[in-house]
Amino acid sequence: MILITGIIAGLLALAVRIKINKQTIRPVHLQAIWLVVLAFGVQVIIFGRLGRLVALPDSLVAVLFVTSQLMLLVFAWLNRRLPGGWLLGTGLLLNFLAIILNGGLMPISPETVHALVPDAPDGSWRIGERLGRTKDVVLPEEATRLGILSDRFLLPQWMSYPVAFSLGDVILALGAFWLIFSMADASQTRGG
Amino acid sequence: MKSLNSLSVLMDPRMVRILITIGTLVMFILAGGAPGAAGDISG
Repeated sequence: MILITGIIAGLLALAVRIKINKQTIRPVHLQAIWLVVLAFGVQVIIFGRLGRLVALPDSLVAVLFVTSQLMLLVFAWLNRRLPGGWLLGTGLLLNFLAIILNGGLMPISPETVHALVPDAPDGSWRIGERLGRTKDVVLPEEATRLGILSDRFLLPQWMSYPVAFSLGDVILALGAFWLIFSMADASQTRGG
Repeated sequence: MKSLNSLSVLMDPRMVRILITIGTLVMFILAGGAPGAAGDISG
């Protein structure tokens, strides 16, 4: 949900922008969309109901997850010249580095898990194992490579939405915001 | 009639491209991001 915030905010900002400036929306030409569809499809399978039904081993989940991230990196590279494209690529790359350097899943520290789910029943998560159905693996801070890029940030408690996210997630959301906001066609105005 | 007008707007190639762009972005950041939500932990 935190990732979608960038898109929703971008759409709202775009709506205000084209209303105020009497502009139209200009479609963006994205290249190799099929890579995103394929990567998303792979993740729906491994992190969705099907993955749970089949009980895929975490090692296979990690391999498929990294493969899907590589597809997204190629997509980001092909579309790097779009407005916000370099932000999308940077956010993705930061997440990818944290994932690839820590065994194929996004690291999260036990302290962050405690803060995220303080009343989690005993045995619901273990250090060194995947965290529930998430893309995360619980690793102690000292055993985490590039811990600064891990899922270490939490939303304020008053938001009532317990989620841990990374610096890469924030940059991804900013990139999505920028790309959508830039879809206003500055060269055309309606009604003069 | 109004619904037919809405449908013709959705069938407009420019609108289709805009929807494809936004849909692709949604898939991209959902797949590229890796937040851990509390709701996904217990199962």
